[in-house]
Amino acid sequence: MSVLPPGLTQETFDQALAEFRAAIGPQWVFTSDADRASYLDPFDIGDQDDHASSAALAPSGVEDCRKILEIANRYRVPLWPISMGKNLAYGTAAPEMRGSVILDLKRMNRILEIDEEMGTAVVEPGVSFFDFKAELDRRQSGLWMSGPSHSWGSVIGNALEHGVGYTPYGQHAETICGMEVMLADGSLVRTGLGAVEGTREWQAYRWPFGPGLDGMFTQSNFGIVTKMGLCLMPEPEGMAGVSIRIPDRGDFRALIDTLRPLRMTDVINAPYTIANGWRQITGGRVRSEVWDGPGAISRERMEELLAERGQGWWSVIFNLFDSPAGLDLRLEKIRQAFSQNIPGATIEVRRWEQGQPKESWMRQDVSLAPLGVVDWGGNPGGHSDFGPIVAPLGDRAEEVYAIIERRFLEYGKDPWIGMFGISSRALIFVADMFYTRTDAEETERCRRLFRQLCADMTGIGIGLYRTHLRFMDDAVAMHGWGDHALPKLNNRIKAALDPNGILAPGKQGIGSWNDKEEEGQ
Amino acid sequence: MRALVCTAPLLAIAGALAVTQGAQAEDGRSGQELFLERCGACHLEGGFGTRVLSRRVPEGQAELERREVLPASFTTTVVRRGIGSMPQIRPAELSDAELQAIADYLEKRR
Ligand SMILES: Cc1cc2nc3c(=O)[nH]c(=O)nc-3n(C[C@H](O)[C@H](O)[C@H](O)COP(=O)(O)OP(=O)(O)OC[C@H]3O[C@@H](n4cnc5c(N)ncnc54)[C@H](O)[C@@H]3O)c2cc1C
Ligand code: HEC
Repeated sequence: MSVLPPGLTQETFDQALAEFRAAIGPQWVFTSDADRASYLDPFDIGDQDDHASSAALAPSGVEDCRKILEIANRYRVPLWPISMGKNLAYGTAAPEMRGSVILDLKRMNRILEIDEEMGTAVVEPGVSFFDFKAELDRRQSGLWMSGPSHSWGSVIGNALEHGVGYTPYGQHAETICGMEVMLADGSLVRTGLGAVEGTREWQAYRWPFGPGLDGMFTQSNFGIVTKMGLCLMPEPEGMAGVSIRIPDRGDFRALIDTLRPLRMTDVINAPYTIANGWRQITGGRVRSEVWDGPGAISRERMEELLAERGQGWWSVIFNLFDSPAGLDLRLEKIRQAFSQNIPGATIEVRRWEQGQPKESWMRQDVSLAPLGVVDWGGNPGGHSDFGPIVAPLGDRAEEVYAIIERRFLEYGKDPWIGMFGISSRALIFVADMFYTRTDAEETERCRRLFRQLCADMTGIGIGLYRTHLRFMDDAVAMHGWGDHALPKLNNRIKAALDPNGILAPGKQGIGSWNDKEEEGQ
Repeated sequence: MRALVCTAPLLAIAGALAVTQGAQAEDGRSGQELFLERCGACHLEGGFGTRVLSRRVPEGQAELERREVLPASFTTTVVRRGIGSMPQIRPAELSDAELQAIADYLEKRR
């Protein structure tokens, strides 16, 4: 069954495909049903076909990209760029707009540079975390990678999506230092000091003479990122893995107010993760083994399950990075703060020093094990999340937490919530929804829950970190200040840079939000 | 319009994990090496795939490398389409020839 880009007839699309084949080689133009199926979102919250692509193109480099753009502009073929295309939970490799052609950058997979002295690297889009780690190991590099919990994705795709890791370099978009970007008209731009001919400083400093544009190309459809510079962390002298159990549900506010100053003064020098009860009872089993009642697992059952595992209502985990003596000082401050504010908390610490073998708690190994959680709610498993950005203030965090927990219970979903202390001044809540992907009632309920929460959060002035393709327009609509001045500015930039709207239509609601408003929706 | 699937073994390049079977991809890497690299993170002992499969296949059959019967055509379909909670894998990241080498290895391995 063929799917077409909106507005194109089969005949014109066939002509465009013929031109793509001539431009990049027929073997890199994928049109069969089986090949297109490989771009569907395996975890979609509804019918995968809603986000089906019409074809996929796999260019070998920037010259191929330029040829593709020239043809796409002429025929008005929408292109959806992906790097590794493992944006699992948020759409994977599928496009927002049905009928888009995937621009699969996987073949552009060179690691162009790893600079041991400067602690920087330059990579192409197809470089996965597996590839990158293997290359660092091969070189016996003194630099460490910061990756997300599963390693299937790409260094570039993850950083572009504002992904999160668990080292001091864990805010991945913050580690970007310079990009090469191809705009919709085929022109190639280097951001930052990369604009200076023959520079040695492209990755040294992000702020050129004039505006810093790196951020403009993250979570965006303004260009195709063809290269990215990144800062890498030198191997630390030591690490400590800290896990804290807080038995009392009523201690949430105190917990947030205890962690904030520790993170802000850099005593805790990497992102921390807080898990609520539901999030702690998952490992090593499936939901049907612990709960067969209707709706969400009840609070009482949850407490039983936590007690069985000796866990508290809240848990916090994080790693510290420092010399052994520095770690002692940090740990002392952490112990003091907790014994003062939350005497019931118990703290466990593991240590590592340079030269010792690495252990799994350090999260330095590449892994796909975290994907196992997807099967928790039923098979075929799917999962996505609601991700508000919240100030780490006890009152504020409690307000948001209470709304999310209440709504999840109301909609019959387990409130499986993690809170990531990604920076010193921001907590990202990740409220996961697990569902059986083929259960239409359940996925529809999850979509309603998500939209209900968007409305709730808009009411208290909260925006989102990232969303599944299905909720791009809902998330952008939350930015209402000044009569939606920011979304409107994005639309104006989009119209100027990509007048035919061929690059990733619908991405982050840029373009589409405005169209809908004009249509009076 | 895809590249021809390469079934004939190319020059044997002795890799660290060289196997006796002929399943090889275009660059000479064996089906076994490719399996370990591309599927191993989920399909060795304790992996996500092995754990899910152990809930629905006969005992001892969850690890693909120990499977009594695993037709190559089944493996290639599963990988391109995905199955249950296994996300699919695209031709641009794992070529038809590489996939065929893995599938042949899993079928004939014993
Ligand atoms: C169980 C589980 C755990 C997870 N844990 C984490 C975690 O700890 N941290 C985290 O950050 N994420 C996490 N994720 C989410 C996600 O899977 C990862 O972020 C993953 O790395 C993203 O995939 P990718 O890197 O392949 O990006 P891609 O799929 O390649 O890209 C994502 C999107 O970015 C845009 N894009 C990509 N490349 C380009 C380009 N070159 N030019 C222009 N636009 C581009 C496109 O819109 C694309 O759809 C998790 C998911 C699951 C299911
Ligand atoms: C991200 C983890 C992951 C990766 C990578 C992965 N698989 Fe799987 N695979 C799974 C899971 C999970 C299942 C079980 C799916 C289910 O039943 O829900 C599975 C099932 C299978 C099955 C079906 C077995 C049966 O009896 O039904 C085959 C065949 C298979 N995988 C082959 C492969 C091959 C070949 C590769 C590498 C090219 C691969 N897989 C890579 C996770 C993975």
